[in-house]
Amino acid sequence: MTSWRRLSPLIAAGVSLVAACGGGASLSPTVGPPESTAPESAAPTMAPMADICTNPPKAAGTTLTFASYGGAYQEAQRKGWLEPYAALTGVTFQESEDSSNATIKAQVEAGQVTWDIVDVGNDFGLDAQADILEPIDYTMVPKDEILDGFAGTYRVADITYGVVLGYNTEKTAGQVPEGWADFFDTTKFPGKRGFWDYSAGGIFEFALLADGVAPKDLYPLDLPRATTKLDTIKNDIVFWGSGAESQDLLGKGEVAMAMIWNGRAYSAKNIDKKPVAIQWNQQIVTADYFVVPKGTPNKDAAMAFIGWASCKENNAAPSKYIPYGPTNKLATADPSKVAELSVSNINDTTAYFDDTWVVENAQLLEDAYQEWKTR
Amino acid sequence: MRQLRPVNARSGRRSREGPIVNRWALLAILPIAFLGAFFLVPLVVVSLRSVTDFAKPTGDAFANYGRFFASAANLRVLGNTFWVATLSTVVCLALGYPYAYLMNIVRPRVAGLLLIAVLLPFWSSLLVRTYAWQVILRDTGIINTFLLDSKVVDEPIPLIRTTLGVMLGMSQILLPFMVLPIYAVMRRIDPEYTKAAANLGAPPFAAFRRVFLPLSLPGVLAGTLLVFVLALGFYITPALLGSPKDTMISQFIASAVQQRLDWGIGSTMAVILMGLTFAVLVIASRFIRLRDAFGSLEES
Amino acid sequence: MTDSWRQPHRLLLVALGALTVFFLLAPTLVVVPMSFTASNSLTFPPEGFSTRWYEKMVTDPQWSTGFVNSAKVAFLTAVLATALGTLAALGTVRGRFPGRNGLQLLILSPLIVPVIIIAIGMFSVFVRWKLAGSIAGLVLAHTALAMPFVVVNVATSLRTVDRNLELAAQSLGAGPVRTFRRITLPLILPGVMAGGLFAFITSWDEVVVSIFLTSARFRTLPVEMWEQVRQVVDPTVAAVATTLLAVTTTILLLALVVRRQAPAR
Repeated sequence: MTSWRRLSPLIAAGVSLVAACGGGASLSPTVGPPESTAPESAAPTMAPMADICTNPPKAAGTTLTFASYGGAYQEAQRKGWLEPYAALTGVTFQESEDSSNATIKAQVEAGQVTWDIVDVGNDFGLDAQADILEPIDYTMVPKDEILDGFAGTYRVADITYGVVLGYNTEKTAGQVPEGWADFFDTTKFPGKRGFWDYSAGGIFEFALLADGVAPKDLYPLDLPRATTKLDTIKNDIVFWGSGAESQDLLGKGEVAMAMIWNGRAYSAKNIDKKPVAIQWNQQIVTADYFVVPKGTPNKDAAMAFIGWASCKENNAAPSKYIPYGPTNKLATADPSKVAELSVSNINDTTAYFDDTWVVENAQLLEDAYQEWKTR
Repeated sequence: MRQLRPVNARSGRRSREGPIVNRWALLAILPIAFLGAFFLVPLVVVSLRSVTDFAKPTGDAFANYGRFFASAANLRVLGNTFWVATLSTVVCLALGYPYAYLMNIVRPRVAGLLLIAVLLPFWSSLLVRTYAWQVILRDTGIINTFLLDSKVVDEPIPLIRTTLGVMLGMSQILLPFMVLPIYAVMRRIDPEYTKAAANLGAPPFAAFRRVFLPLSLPGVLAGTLLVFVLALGFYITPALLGSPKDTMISQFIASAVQQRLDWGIGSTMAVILMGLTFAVLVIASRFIRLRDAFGSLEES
Repeated sequence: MTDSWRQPHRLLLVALGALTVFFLLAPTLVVVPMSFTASNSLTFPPEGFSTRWYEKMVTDPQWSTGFVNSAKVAFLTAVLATALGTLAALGTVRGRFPGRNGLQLLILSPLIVPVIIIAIGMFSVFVRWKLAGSIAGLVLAHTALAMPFVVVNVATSLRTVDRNLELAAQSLGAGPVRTFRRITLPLILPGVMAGGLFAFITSWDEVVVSIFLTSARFRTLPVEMWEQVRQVVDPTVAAVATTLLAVTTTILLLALVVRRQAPAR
């Protein structure tokens, strides 16, 4: 029987092996070229903006990879934008349903960009990501028509939505929570509370709104004040990790109220047929954005698509399928959804994220969040 | 295995006299190169990223380590990781030792069944088992539905998102790693020893405590080490069954890398976890032969 | 002997043992009946009997491609890990070279290094090598994780091989390769096969490394389940869990039977 002695040989062997491998550069794997190398695209010919909206450049043979968040959301984008655009131009779309900031970063750093157009959240696409994103080509995108503050150097908003207070009407027994102060009042409204498990998703903002801070005075966030407020309901909080989970928790009544994206509350009510309602007061209106990873071989075709989808004629198309609103000021949303849109319910209690502040202070936010959460 | 002693003894002698390297050794080159490229290189790269990836430019190569230790949350999660690992180890020992003992004294056929009862969960998916616990412990899960329906309670009792939930899940998953090494050692204890003690007039419990227990100790140490070290690296189970207060360091590593793209702090935490794991092994190797710990898995 | 079982401490021991068996098996098995529920949500005892969740699993492309991907990856992993693991076992059991003991520990270390570290390490390297999100990348990763089980199983059977048989074959004029093929390999074959089956299970059930190395376009069954478990709690997940369990159990029992065939036991 062999006897493996003590541990030291393991470390010694490990060290010498690493040394022998010379960092492993010579041990490159024996795998062929990546399957996803897109064909050299014929750069679409430049067209004036009016043309892009009604007659986008033909680009048969081009394959664009569109990454978003999957589910009903991406289906609405597919039906509203991808399918009509493919029919108009001959572009073929490949889709990914796992948009993630990490993947964009990894692709660009590896020099292997396979995503051409990515739908990202409001915490991405700012100057901090200048190294990994292409600047938006505003010769093709109608910047002036986009809602103020929603068109940046590296990103342009494609869809607006609200982070809202959703409640289960059975659990609140007919009472209507008027805003985040009621959310934090577990005596008046017993039951658990759902929050997105993310430091920059709105949890601090809502705690401060509940504590009486005016929407315009939110930033810079007073983190100690926010965590003190959050402490008052800490043991009643259930954290959710995905939109589907929030929809499930609130629909089933495992939480009486939840911070939730308005589309998810809509689905809980209208698709799952659950007793769920939205309190629009003190909602945060925000957006998802299109970005183009740096180094994509299809940059111009990607910009042309973004330009087309941002036009007033096309921008509201997904709202036929999901209650997320247009970002083009001149676009008209689908009549059946207008009442359910975040932008239709703006009032003087409505708040907005200061994306720049949030991104610049991401580390601070995250540290304070984890410090509070694990305490 | 025992019948081979003579040959083994002979080959052992030959190895001392023969060449330092023989031809069989060449066969190991390919698998070792494979592990080097696809296992060691990744570990080395992670270690390097902890001193090269920074959120903000810095002149200090160990800035990420400074950042890690400056945060109370990180230290709390690290402490919690050790605490949860300790608790799981204690629970596994309390259940595992009697179980191994039972396996050792029952008829071989029953012992075989008891062994299967350990091996089935040992090999079945950790995710499936954690999912099963989730189904049982949820507020709308089996236990709470039962309690609510039978009017024992009015509100669901907190089971999921509690330390208790994590403990149940983790000990169930880790228990085989305790039972197998203890059983392996117990099987090698000659029953004549305890019989002799009994014949000399020792009451059964004294015979157990004075003779059997000390002899089984290597197995206990091996199992304890194995369970503790594996528990340190748990990710799926605390993520699905625990509350934020039960966060373990693996979850922090995953969220740093996946959510925040913060490879600097993520790989720093990885290096710290890896270092602590090795430290535990090094310290343990002063007391037990690691072969006992790993070797018992051969019996599985 | 029968008398001693009535002693209180023995009874206690048996009760504790029964409880432990229950603790080990029952919680997992609860998923099986629940997957056959006719209702839309998970309830226990299940309401009615229906295979609709299995139908949904088979017809939903996400689940069914996940199943196929898992099977492919596990099969390829089993083949590669068996080949490499057998070589490693031969080299480290029969081989003589400095640092051999350390090497044996190195081969086993994928079992001990926390899997999240392996996962982020492989992700970070495989992205650069253009292996992330591909079947090849996942097979290579799973092979590293599965190799220890092959090595351990082959090494165990290798140590039971009576070397006198090999010496006899060689003295009758067989070369080393022929001796290995005709004498050694048949003797260790049960160990090799059991190792391969364990490698298959390791890959089949693996989730953490797979989370990092798969993409939405290429996902395995456990990764799909991980995504779903955190989102919707639909009985389909119970059907998937049962399927995963059934495959694992079948292969485990197969491996145990195969290993029983080892001649030298």
